[in-house]
Amino acid sequence: MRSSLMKAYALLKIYIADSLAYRASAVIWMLTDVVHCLVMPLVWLSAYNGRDTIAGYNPGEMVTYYVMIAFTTNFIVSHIMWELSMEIKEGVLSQWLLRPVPMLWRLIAQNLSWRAMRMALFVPVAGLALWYYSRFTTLSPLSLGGLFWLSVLLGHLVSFFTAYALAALAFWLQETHSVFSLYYAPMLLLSGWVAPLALMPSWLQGVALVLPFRYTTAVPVEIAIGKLQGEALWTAIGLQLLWVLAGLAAAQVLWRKGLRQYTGVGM
Amino acid sequence: MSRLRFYWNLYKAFLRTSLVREMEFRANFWAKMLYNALWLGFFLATLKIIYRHTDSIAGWSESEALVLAATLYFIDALISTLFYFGLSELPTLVRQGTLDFVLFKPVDSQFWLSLRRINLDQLGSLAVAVLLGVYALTRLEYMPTPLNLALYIGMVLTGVLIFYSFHFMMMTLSIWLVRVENLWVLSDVFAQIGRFPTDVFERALRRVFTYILPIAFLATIPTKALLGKVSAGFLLFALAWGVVFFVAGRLFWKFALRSYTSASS
Repeated sequence: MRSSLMKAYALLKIYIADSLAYRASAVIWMLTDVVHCLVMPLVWLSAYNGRDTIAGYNPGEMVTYYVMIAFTTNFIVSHIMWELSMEIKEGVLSQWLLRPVPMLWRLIAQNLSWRAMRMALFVPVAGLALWYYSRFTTLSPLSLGGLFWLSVLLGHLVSFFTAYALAALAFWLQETHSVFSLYYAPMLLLSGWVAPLALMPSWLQGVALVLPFRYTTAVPVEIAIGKLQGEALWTAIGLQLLWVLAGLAAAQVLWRKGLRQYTGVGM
Repeated sequence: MSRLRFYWNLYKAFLRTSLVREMEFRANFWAKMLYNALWLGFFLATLKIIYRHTDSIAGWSESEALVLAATLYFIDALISTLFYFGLSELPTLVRQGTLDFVLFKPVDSQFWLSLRRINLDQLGSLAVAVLLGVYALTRLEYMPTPLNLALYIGMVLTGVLIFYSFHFMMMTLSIWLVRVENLWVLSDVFAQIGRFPTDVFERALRRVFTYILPIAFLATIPTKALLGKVSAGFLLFALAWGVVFFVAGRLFWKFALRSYTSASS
């Protein structure tokens, strides 16, 4: 037990240092989110044309929605498949397989430190954005209680295990770049990044309900701005949990199968 | 004059090697075409979602916004065809120290870096952008006058010049930021702001995006020119901006080279 803790601590220390070394990259990646939560609310604010609400969203809620989606994305959305698939293809994975630390551990350590840093970096941006918009419109009150943070954590695990499972495709496919790129289109559309799901045509909302993407960022943000309440909230959290388990199971199966035929090219 | 001929022959050689390269990876060629189409579809879906709920954004109807989208997509595809992939290799050249070999060549380094890789799989995107633009104008039932069309073409070329210079400057940063591998994101962000009419911004920001960071010249102003909402004199102003940006990019590159340490050699 004690040695496990020591290992976990050592890993965490390595990856916090690692994240700090790449802080310039982190700031640049973040600009995409900054611009998104600057441009989209302004586009919508110029679309109201005097009306009070669009699909149940008043201007204040719309603005807060985008600031929150950008904020939570920094913690939730994992892109781990890019690096992992490279490690599989170049054989770098082997050195991890030989160490006395389970693969998943080091990924979790790496991921948590990177995610926590990005979210922390985004706090001043979110604050500034909210201050900027508060001059045009009354912002929606935020409820950032325990349920919100629980939902954020579950959302991250859904995204993390999906990406982890996707990475395993590199065991079989030569070219994973295009597959991963294709993943982003439905992901951005159905996770609520482009727009609140309530604004989409009903058939698309139906699709969103049965795919994992809604359970990454859309659910926690809707909780934060009070769009999900009571029974609907608990159902959503239950479904998040279900997707975490499904993602974990899929990832474990794919990785076990993949590792069996892993040849460690490049060693 | 012979210098000009030299560069023209060099460009033809670049074109030849790029063509050979594309032929070698033909499956990849079609995959990339499909991928480009998908991203256009993705952006059109975004517009569709917005216009389900409104008739106009800051005075722009759906069809007008489509003309703008087509314009930006066209400029983006042209940049990708001509410059993007060559320039995107710059950070790698700096990191590995192989930029030395470029600097040794008896060729202008900016010319070599910018034009060496011609990416032919974007040609499909150019065609799609033109079709989308024609479709949107038909929907608008608008026939641009020859003057407006000429202004538009001039403005689009200015947009290309500005976007190219911006991308070049961002890639030049790699001389100092050797470890930062995602500098290209900065150019993506530039285009990301330009996808929507800059009229959605309040006055102060709109000024910034016209006079300081000329994002409005990417698509908003060309589109307005096509729709007859910009005076001809403005083209001169836009051209001046384009030239200023190009010269700034070149000076910035010369300045950066003084700090180049040739890390690994």
